[in-house]
Amino acid sequence: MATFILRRLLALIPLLLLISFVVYALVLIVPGDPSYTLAGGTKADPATIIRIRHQLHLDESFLSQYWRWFTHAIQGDLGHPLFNRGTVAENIWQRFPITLSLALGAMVVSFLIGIPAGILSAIRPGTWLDRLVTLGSSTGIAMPDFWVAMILVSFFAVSNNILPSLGWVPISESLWGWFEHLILPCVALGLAGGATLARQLRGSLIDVLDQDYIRSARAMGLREREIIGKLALKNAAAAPLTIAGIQFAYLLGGTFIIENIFSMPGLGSYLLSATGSKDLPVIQGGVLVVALIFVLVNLAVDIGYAYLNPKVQLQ
Amino acid sequence: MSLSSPVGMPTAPVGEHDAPEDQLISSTRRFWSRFFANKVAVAGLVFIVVMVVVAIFANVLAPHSETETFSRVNSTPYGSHWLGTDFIGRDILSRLMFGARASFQVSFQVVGMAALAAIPIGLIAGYFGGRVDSVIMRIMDAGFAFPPLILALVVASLLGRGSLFNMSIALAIVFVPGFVRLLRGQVLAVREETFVEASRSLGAGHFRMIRRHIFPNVASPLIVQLALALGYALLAEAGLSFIGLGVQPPGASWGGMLNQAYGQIFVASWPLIVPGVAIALTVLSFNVIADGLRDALGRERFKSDA
Repeated sequence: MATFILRRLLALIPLLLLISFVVYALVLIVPGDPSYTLAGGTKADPATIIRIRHQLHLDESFLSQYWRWFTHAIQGDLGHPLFNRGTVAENIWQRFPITLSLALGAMVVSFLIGIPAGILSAIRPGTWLDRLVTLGSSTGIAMPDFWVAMILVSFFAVSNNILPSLGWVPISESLWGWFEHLILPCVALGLAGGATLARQLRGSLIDVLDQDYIRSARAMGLREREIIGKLALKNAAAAPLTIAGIQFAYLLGGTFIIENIFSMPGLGSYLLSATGSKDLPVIQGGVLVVALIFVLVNLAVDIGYAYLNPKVQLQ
Repeated sequence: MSLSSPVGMPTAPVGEHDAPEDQLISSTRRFWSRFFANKVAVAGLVFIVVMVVVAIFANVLAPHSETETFSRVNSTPYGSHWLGTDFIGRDILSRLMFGARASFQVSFQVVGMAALAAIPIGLIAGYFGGRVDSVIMRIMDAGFAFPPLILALVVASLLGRGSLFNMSIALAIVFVPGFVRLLRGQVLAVREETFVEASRSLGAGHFRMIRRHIFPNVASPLIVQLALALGYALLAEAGLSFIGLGVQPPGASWGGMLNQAYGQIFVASWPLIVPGVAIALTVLSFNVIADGLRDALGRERFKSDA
């Protein structure tokens, strides 16, 4: 296991180099002269164009620009935003806890929905309850999360003043305030994940419950509760957990619309506003950090899967 | 269509007729009769066909123009406004019909472009294996390293926010690695089949091998994936339009309509409902079509990708 993890970590090095190159190469897809386009195109004033050209070293060759950016980035220096104060790394660091809370909260929601729904439909396949879960999960997957978010706001915040519709309170300031502001966005983000999880768990649990050792356990007189809880769930967990891990990684990079709706100053909304103003250092730094986290979470998922499923050959 | 049937190789002479056409036709017919027996999948297909027709002929079918304003704003259905009016009094049904254009244009463009790019790459990686395969797959790994929606947002924004085609390019890039990985895996499995080996020993060239023997046998899982991808692409298009990419006002897109409705959330909730239901029903339809295709092809072929 240790060598497996070590080997996977070593394999990350070339991958991360490639990622950083792709991220920096984003400057190449900016149409026209980047310093002119980034400064605002036709509205740009000459001083800003010159400042941006100088700040991003756009007069150097692409490879030397990349190398300068990369050597700074691995030391944690992602440069300065084009239009705001502070450093990119600082801003990302401040905003990341919000996005992380959202992603974790959404995972909690999807487990709370997905696990009971999956179990209930798997132990009674073909019944009305199973059909209800199947229909519900298909619908849950098809609804855009931002639409669910707006419907929730409309009901819980506008029509009935139960929950706040906007903003964010740090956990250090007020535990309840933090929790209260997270409920609606996390439910919106976690619903589709819960639906996918229910579907996945239903499938693998039905497969497991069909196995001989479950029949033997039943014949030996084990109670159904114990069979499901102790035997079946453990054996059916690997695939759904992998899916959940992948969802978590997606969530870390997929919260920006929800952050925008709820006016939460997270990493996602930071990146979103940077794409609006074409603030290239912020975009590159933000995408690099998000991709890094994404890769690490995926690695953790792979390791977890290998751990849960001994059939996977550790090569 | 079945993997296990050796496609008549050893007995047939090396000529133009080495893939028995009758067998292919009969299995295709069996596939469609199975698909059409699935009522849910057929309902999904009918819904999509109707929506596409509505999108194409929106200028003829829509009761009002996309931009004409009426005196009642934020209204629930009344008179000739079957789905009510939006915040400046435009007919919601008409805007929904015109907005369908953006949604379908982007999702079909995205999936078409991604498939066009991914099919040759995946076939080459799987068929030739070795160093070619590892180089291609390492590059695809880098593609997998980016959360899809963020990557699409950034690429579309840098290319220029106001263009549907830029949005399609950005989303197509996101779908390529998944298609390549799927195809390559399928090719690796088919490559070792006896009929492929037989054909190779009879001296078939690489291009002919891929076109006549490999591709037809890996196409069906790809088709299921394409149907699913249409739904995901449509969701992504709605999300990106919601934050202001793609169709610019006063033009209509489903995501844009939702954004404008959200601005009115303290005044009216009705305009928020309709575009969301349209998006959900369309995505649901693509998903049930994909499920229907998968069932018609036989589930056993999809055991490996849980």
